Amino acid sequence: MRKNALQKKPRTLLSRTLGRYLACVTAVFLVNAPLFYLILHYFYADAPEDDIMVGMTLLLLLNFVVISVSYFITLRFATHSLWHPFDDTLRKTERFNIAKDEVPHFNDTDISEFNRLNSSLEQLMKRDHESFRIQKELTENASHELQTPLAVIRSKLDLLMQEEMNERQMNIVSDLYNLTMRMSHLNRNLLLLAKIDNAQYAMTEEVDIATLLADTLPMYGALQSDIPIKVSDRRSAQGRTLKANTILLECLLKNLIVNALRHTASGGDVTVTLIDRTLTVSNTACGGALREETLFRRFRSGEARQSGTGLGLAIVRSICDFHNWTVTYSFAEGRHTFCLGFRF
Amino acid sequence: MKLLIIEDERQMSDDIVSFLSREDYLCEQAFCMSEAINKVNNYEYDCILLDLMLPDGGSGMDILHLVKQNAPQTGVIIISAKDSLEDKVKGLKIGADDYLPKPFHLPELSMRIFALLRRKNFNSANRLDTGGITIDLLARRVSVGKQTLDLTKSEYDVLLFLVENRRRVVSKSALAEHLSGDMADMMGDFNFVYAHIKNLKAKLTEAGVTDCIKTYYGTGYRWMAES
Repeated sequence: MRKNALQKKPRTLLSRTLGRYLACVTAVFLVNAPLFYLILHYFYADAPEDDIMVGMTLLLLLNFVVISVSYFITLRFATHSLWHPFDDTLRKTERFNIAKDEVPHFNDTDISEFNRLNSSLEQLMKRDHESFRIQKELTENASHELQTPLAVIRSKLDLLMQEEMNERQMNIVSDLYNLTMRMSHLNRNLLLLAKIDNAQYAMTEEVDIATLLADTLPMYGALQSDIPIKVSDRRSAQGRTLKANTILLECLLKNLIVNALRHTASGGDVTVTLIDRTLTVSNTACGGALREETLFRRFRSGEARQSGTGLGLAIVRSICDFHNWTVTYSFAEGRHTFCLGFRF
Repeated sequence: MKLLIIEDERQMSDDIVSFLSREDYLCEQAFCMSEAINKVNNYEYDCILLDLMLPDGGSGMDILHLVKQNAPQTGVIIISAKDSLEDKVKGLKIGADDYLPKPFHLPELSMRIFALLRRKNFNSANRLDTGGITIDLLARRVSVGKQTLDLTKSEYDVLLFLVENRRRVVSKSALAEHLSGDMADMMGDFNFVYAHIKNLKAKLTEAGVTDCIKTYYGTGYRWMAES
């Protein structure tokens, strides 16, 4: 049928429907022709006057039946096949993911409106896809190219540090250090985001999150020894491991926990809880609740920014999206809580 | 000790040379592939710093292969702007000894070179004596006279980092990065370094070692004792 459609000259949807309807009426009429003949023969040809009334009524009724049956058939079956290409287009459009797929190919149809729709959709998607690719490339290339000058600046600072300096000069050097560190961190994070978007961490394996946590926890102690990190593992025997990319998972945990550490006042604590399909990281809050809608966006933080790059939670969100996990934020009893929902 | 620095960014290379010249290293430089191949073929080095991305085509991996063929005992540290895991794994598999992603702190590089050379020279002592303290590098133990100091892992790392960079001022951010890698810059400030230094100083003072760590206006630190 598709082969045929290719050869047919495309016409509008209206004329196609009309054509199908007419064909259907003709067919049904032809099928019923003997019945018409019989009625005419029986009630008109050699019948008394009274019977003509009955004959006309029957004829009208039969006409009505023929028209409605063909109407029904056209609506029920012909329309379905006529709209099939539209359905196809709709499905492909719904499945289109700008970050992952190629632009879908739409089949040619014999209906001119759908052809127009398909070609404009295809153009639109192609343009979108292209600009998305350029944007990704730009991020990645820019980050790469920035890495070298940043490295040079840093080594110059290390050299400068060896000179005799007074306090004022030393403080300037120290500020420069902090700025270059922040810049290179920003750079690394942008690169990481670009890589996740590019699916460069596609390899996944079975990971036990508790082992991963146990490996990295001592390192947090070096950062903030006065804020305890409590871990509670309340998982059942099954569901100990989950399928994930280890590097990304580690990065996710690091971001969540360091973030929590940073925003905990002394005397507070950070609690990591593992329940079967969820992991929560909560910490004693210094202030009130954060605004969830902007929390996970790039360069938006919940409060006025003092430090950090503003990319940490965007990375968390991005890693979750990559694995099809969920991440939510809630605030209760003076604690910020981030909850991860895994899929096994 | 003879070092070869294969790095196309001339400024970076010069900075490394001038930073390392404080040790008794003899540094040579190569800025492109052909120069590097020429030097690797004709001379022997104790340690080679290798940038993976070089101009005139070709990858640093080829040089790594060449080095491992010609003189397998040479230590190789890869310094690369491509912070990718595949490169790291590939490099270490071919036989590189260490991998340091750019940008890095020069004291960190110096520390890595020092550790590498120490590992390569089996007959070298695994003990460091400086300013009245003795560091047992294998057991990761620090003692003053007969008394062993009870140091946390972070404090030990800080001490070793300072001691191995002993002729230089080490910045707070270099220490921060050495202690916690990329977690340091997630923290946003490096005040945690200050806490470790303070504790370390207190423990050293208690053991009778004073004035060994000099603080430069709260931003840089230096191990004062010579050798």
